Parts: sequence; C-alpha cells; structure tokens
Amino acid sequence: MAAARVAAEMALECFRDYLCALARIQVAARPWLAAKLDASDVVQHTLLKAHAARDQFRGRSAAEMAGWLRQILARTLANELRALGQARRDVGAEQSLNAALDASSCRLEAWLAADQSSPSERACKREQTDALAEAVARLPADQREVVLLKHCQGLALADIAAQLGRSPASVAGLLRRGLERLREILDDKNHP
Amino acid sequence: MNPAEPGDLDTIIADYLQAAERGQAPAPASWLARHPDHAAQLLAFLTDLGRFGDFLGLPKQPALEATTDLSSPATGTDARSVAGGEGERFGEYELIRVLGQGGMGTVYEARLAGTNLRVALKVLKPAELEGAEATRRLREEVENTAGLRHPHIVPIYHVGEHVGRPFYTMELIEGGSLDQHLERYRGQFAKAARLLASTARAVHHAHQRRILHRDLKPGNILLDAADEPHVADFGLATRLDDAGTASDSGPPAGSLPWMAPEAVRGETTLSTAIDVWALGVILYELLTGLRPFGGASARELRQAILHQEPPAPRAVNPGVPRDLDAVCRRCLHKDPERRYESTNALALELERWLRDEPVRARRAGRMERVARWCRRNPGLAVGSILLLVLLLTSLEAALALTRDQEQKLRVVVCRNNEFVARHVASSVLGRLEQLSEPVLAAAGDDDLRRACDHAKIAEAQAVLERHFQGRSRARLSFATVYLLDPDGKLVALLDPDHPRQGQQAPASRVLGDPFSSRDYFQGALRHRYERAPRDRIHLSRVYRSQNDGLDKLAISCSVLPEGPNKRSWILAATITTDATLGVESLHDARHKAVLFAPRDADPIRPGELPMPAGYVILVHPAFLTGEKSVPFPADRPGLVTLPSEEPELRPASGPPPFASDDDYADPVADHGHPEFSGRWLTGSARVGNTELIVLVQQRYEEAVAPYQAIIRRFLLIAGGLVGLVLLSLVGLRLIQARRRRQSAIPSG
Repeated sequence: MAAARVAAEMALECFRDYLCALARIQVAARPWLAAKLDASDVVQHTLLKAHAARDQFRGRSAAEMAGWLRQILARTLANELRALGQARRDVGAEQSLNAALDASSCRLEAWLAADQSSPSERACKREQTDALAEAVARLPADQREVVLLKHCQGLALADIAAQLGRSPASVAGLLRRGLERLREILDDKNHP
Repeated sequence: MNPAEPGDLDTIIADYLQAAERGQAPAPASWLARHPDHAAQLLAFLTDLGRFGDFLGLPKQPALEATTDLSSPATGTDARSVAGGEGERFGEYELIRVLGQGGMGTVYEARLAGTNLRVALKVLKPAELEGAEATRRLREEVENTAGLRHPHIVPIYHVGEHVGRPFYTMELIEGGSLDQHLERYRGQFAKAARLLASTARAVHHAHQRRILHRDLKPGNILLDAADEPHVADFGLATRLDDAGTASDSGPPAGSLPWMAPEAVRGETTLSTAIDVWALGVILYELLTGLRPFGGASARELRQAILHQEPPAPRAVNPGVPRDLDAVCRRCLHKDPERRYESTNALALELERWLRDEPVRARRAGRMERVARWCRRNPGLAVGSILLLVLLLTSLEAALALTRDQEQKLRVVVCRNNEFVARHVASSVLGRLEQLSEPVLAAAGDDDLRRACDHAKIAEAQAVLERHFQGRSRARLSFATVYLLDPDGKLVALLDPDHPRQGQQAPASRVLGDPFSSRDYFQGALRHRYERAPRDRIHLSRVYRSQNDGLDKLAISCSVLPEGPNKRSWILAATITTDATLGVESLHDARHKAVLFAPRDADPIRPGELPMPAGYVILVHPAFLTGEKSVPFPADRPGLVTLPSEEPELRPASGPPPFASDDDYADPVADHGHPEFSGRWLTGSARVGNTELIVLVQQRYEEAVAPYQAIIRRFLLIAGGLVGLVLLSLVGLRLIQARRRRQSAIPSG
C-alpha cells in the first residue's frame, strides 16, 4: 500500500514540468495577471489536489493521467481567476479553460514529437516544454499575444488581425519576429 | 510594390500563412524563387516555422528536404542533363560557372531559373555517386548547417535531389575563398586578426550547437565584398556529444596541412581543440605567408605535424607582433589541453590584442603594460599624469612658499639681530666710558703731568699706583697699566690686580723697550690735541703682549705736558679677553653677543692708519678671562669701513660695519668650543666711533624652528604617502602571486 502510494506520488511529480508549461502559457496569455499569479504556485496547488484525490483516478495510461491532471489544473486556474475577479461564471470559465488547456497540450505534444534536435535532447523532453513556455512568457507583449492566440485558440491569421485591429501583414510580421525571438531564447538556453 | 520595404516581406509571409491555413502552402523552393529579394529572410522564417509550426497548430509544413520532386515546367528531366557543364540547367537552376571542387562535390554558381537569385549550388561528384556514404555525408552536412544561423556562416537555402543526385544551394559569397587572398593579408596584422576573430566566433557558434567543423582551412573561408569571412563546407562536420567530444569511427578526415596531431594520429575522440589548431594554422599562414608544417610527401607532413615544433612566426617574419606570435603558438600546441579552451577564447584573445589589451598567451613587460594601458585609456592616463604634475607642483609650491617664508624670516631675524647689536654696542660703549674714567683721571693728574715733564719716572709710578691700586673703584679689570715716554719707550708698568712686590720681575723684561709702533701709542698721539679730555681716549687694536703673552686691548690717553716745549707722554690701561667685559646681561637665552676688534698690524707706518690685519674675537660668551683671542677668518667680514677721525667715545652712527650673515659659522667652534658649532644668523653694530664691532648671533635652528617643523611635517606626510603606496603595491603583488599559486593548483 505504502509502496503504491509512493509510486503514485512519483508519477504525479513526473507531470510537474508538463503542468507548469500549460499553466505558464495560460498565465502568459493573461499578461495583466502575471504579477498576481505564479504559475508554479498554481501547479503546486493542482498537484496537492491531485494527491488528495488520487483515489478517484480511474484511468490506467499516462495520457489519461495527463487528462485528469489537466481537468484539475483547469479547475484550480478557474478558482484562482475567480478569486482575482477575472471569471464571471464558474462552469463556463472552467469549460473554456479546459478546452484551451486541451488544445495547448495537444500542440505541445505535437511540437515535442517534431522538434528533436538531438537524441540527447530528446531525453529532457518534459523540461523542454517548460523551457518553451518560459520562452513564450519572455516574448515582447505584442509578439506573445499573436503567438498565444495562434497556440491556444488556433485562430486564423485574418481572425487574429480582426481581433487585434491590425493588418494581416503586421500580424504576420509579429509572428515572424516572435518565432525568431523564440528560437534565439531557446538556443541561448540550450547552449549557455 | 517596393521590394526593399520590410512591410513587403511581411505581406509575403501573411499571404503564405493564409495559403497554408487553406492547406495550399506553396512549395518552399518555388516560393523562395518567386521572391528572390527576400529569399534569405523567407528561408529563415520557413526554418522557424518548421521548428515551431506544431506549437502554433499550423497545418503540417512541407519540410525543406521534402522538396525533392520539385521540377519547374522548363526543366529538362532526361538523364543526359546531369549537371557537370556550365550554362546548363540543373533542375530549376541554371548553372553559371564552377566555383570550386569540394571534398565530395562540385560547387557551382547558379541562378534560380527565371529569377535573378544567384546561389552557390553544391552537387556530389559523379564519381562519388555510387557511395551511399557520400550521400549520407551530404545529408549530414545539410542537417548540420541548417541549424546554424550566424552572419559568418554560409547559410543553406534549399536541399533537393535532381535526377538522383542530391544537391543543396547556399548563399553565394562573391569574393572567393581566403586561399585566393592570402597575399592581401601579408603584413596587415590587425586585418588578419579581425578576420580570424570573426571566423573563430562563427566556429564557436557551431561548437555551441555541438557541431565540429573538422575541415577549417583558407579554402573553406569565403570572403564577401566587405572582406567579411563566411565559414563554409560543413561536409566533414560531426556532432559533439555532451562531453564536448566527437567519436568518429571512420578514417581520419580533414585536409592534412590543417589537421591537428590528434586527428593525424587517428584518435577516435576529437574535441573542439582540432578546430582551434586549424585556426592556428590559418593564423600562421596569415602572419607569415607560409604554412607551419611542410613536407615533400604526405608521410613527411604527417611526421612534421606529429613531432616537429614549427618555427615561431616571428622567426619567419620578424614584423609579427609578439602577442600574435604567442597567440598563434598557443593554438599550435601539440597537447590539445594546452591550446585555447575554445575558439571563442581565441576570438576574445585576438580582440584583446586589437584593443591593445594584454593577451593571455604572453605576459607583457611592465613598461609595455603601462604603455598599453595608457593607449587604451588615454583620457585617464592624461588625467593621472596631470594629477601627478598638479600634486608635484603644489607640493613644490608649498615647499617653495615655506622656503620663501623661511628666507623672509631669516632676513627679519638678522635685522632684529642688528638692532640687538646696536643696543649691546651702546652698552659696551658705556662700559668703555666707565673704564676710561680712571685713565682720564690719572692722565689729567697734575702730579703725573709734572713728573712726565721732568721725566721723573719714580714719581710718575707713584701717581699711577695711587690711581690704579688700592682703590676699589679703579680696579676695573685692567690687566696692566703702562706709561710710555714721548718716544714710545715703556717707562712704567703696573699690574693693578697684583701686589706691588709680585710684578717687579716680569715687568723688568719690557721696561725700556720701545713700543712707538703700537696702535695704542699712535692712536693716543692722534687724539692728543682734542679739547675735551674724554675725546683724547683711544681704543686700541688688539695686540699680543710681550710682557705676559695675553691678547690685549688698550685704553690709551695722552698725558699733556704742563710746561711749554714738552712732548706728550702716553698712558695706557689694558683689558684682555673675557666673557662679558663686565657688562651685565650681555647675552640672553637666544642672543649671544660677541666683541670683535681689529688686530694690530706690526710694524705700522707712523702718521697713517692702515687697514687692520684682520679681526679677532676679544669677548665671547665662551671665553675665560685671559684666554687666547680667536682670529676671525680672513675672508670675513670682508672690507670693513674704518671709523672717522672723530673722537672715539661718541654715540654710534652710520650703517652696520658689515652685512648680516644668515650662514655664519662661529670661529670659536674650531678653537676649543665645539658647543658653538652650527649655523648662526648674525647682525652687527659698531661700538661708538671705535674700531670695535659687536656681533649678535642667534642659532638658525631656533630662529626658523616653526618653518622647519612645517617642512618636516610636509616631508613626513609625503614620505608616508609614498610609503603607503609602496606598501599597497607590495600587498597587491603578494595577493596576485597567491592567486596565481592557487589557480596553478589543478582543481579537483
């Protein structure tokens, strides 16, 4: 029994970087919260809740575990947002957060699968998502906004342009410079 | 549309993205071909998109490598048009000319058909076509270079395959490779250092991305129109593992002249040190125009690289700066551990040299380092020199001011001494008048005049004894009293201090001797016609007595005859050397008063008052009564004005007899009174109208003591500062030495 619990906690701990990346991206998408909300605190709360409720987890695979943790993260985030007066209705906010987290997670996975610079780098897969999320958070505000609208909501270029009141060309420029900056930040991090 | 505007670039990208969202993304190569002006930036964007597209959720991009089936409608696709000739089509490119033959392929200058985008196109040699190994190498090169984006690394645009032959295109660098331009760098050391520093930085960029070039040589460094280097041909590059080494199972690869010893030996684990070595060889070529190692055959060359120490660059070309020589030799160390730890370190070192800073490879001499520091920080150097000059001049000014003040003080003290001397002189004059009284009384005594007129010596002697002996008032320190007849013959002598019976024997020695040449005789004769008796007194010059051997001064007076046709006799009372002359408070704690008198010249010509034969000190605080007088040095006090012919016991007037001296050495110090040695400040005054001179002397040290103290303090502070600076320098030295010792201990 005790051994199983330790194993479960170890397993939870494995998802920390993953959850951090997701939380970071959500916080980064709401720059006005950056000063009030710390992504790692949110993740810590999420993991504590997951630990307390670990008996309720019925799944078997890591993917199911990730989905379950995402739900808890969405609920934690929604609570935090409500506490900060940012969300109006509980259920709607939590659902939209859930959707955004799913999409975000999906794209992170896809990116991880594709971006394999070297075999040795493949080993630190999870850290990489966190590094990417951190790099996104460090982008200049206008570039970050465009990148995250694309990442979290999958909006088309024209929709982003309409939402931001910019021309498609200027949005494309922000995206181009944002990706360039992302590459620089990540490369500097990988090769200090 | 103005193609130069960056907004234009973003419009192109926006169009691309929107097409991609519709699932109609154009093939990268043709898209690049449509926008040749922005090809490089668009390619960068595509690369970034390839990396982050998944993260953004964009539809899957056609990978660059996947564009192999590209063929523009104009391409002749039959097997005969395998590239090899110039002016031919190769896929969608037109080959213009052959640029060079690389390790595994040929590089062409090519143009993307229908555009003016010119690129360098590398195709595998037909002979290599069969080898799967060569194809793998080309792929590796592309993969290696594709991740590298650096202003000094040639970027790869497009990878493809045409009729089964893999190729890739890269930026066309027009200037050709460095090996065609080595001559231009001859003697241009700064230019060479800059070129190599840029190259080393680019190589470092690759190293940071775990790519080891392995084939650095002038042929692989391309120069653009601005002579900026671009590293090309990563065909032999391998990946580094986490430990910074590359395991290579294949045969030694690289170009032999630039290969490091460990690569020549075929060691399987290689590090970035081999690229450092190659850069060192290139630096050697740039500095000297020669390669460091030579040999008639590959075997000899190999032996040279492994075992020979190349001649120092300065030995080949004496103009090579010492530091670059050291940097180059450090790159070419046989032991990889002792080369620069990275090409970045080499770049930093070259940049240090370019900035005139000391390099790590060589410890410059002290003067060189100071000169360098000054060249590097001219403002600071000029400032500190100015500060130093200011400090020195102000110190000098302060000292000069103090010295000036001291000089003024000396003048004041000397002047003060003159006033004191005048005061003392009048006291001495008063004393002399007092001493003259019994002489005048005796000379005016009618009994004596009568006795003289009739030459009754015994009577005269009795009169003198009455006047000078037994009467306390008259016993005023006279050594002897003489009576001389008009011819100057000594006829009577008495010693007032001694009882009568005691003085007979010595007196008999000189009785009857002629002394007409003595100044006391001549002087008294000169003044004999003065009306007032007091004016007939003469203060004589100092002579050495034949009677008792004492140095004496006489107060003489004529004894006027009573009867007519009689000649004057002369009465003289003598005083000898003494400490005070009987004057109270002649000296005080600071001022010492001294009486000078001229020495009697012997013989003397009658009727004429000659210049004295020098002066002697008659009264001095150091003297005991009757001591030998001390001669004044002949060169001092120089020419002394003689008193006028007026009576002598008159108040003094006129300027001081000799000038004040601020560097006076008391002669008595050499005559048994060493306590009076040292420097004195003096002032003088004449005693009445006599030839006697009072000198007041004051110790220099006591007079200028306050200023001496200031100067001493100055020197103390300055010395202290200098000492402090020296101490801190020594301290710094010690700390440095200790650090060096500690860093010399291998860690771990």
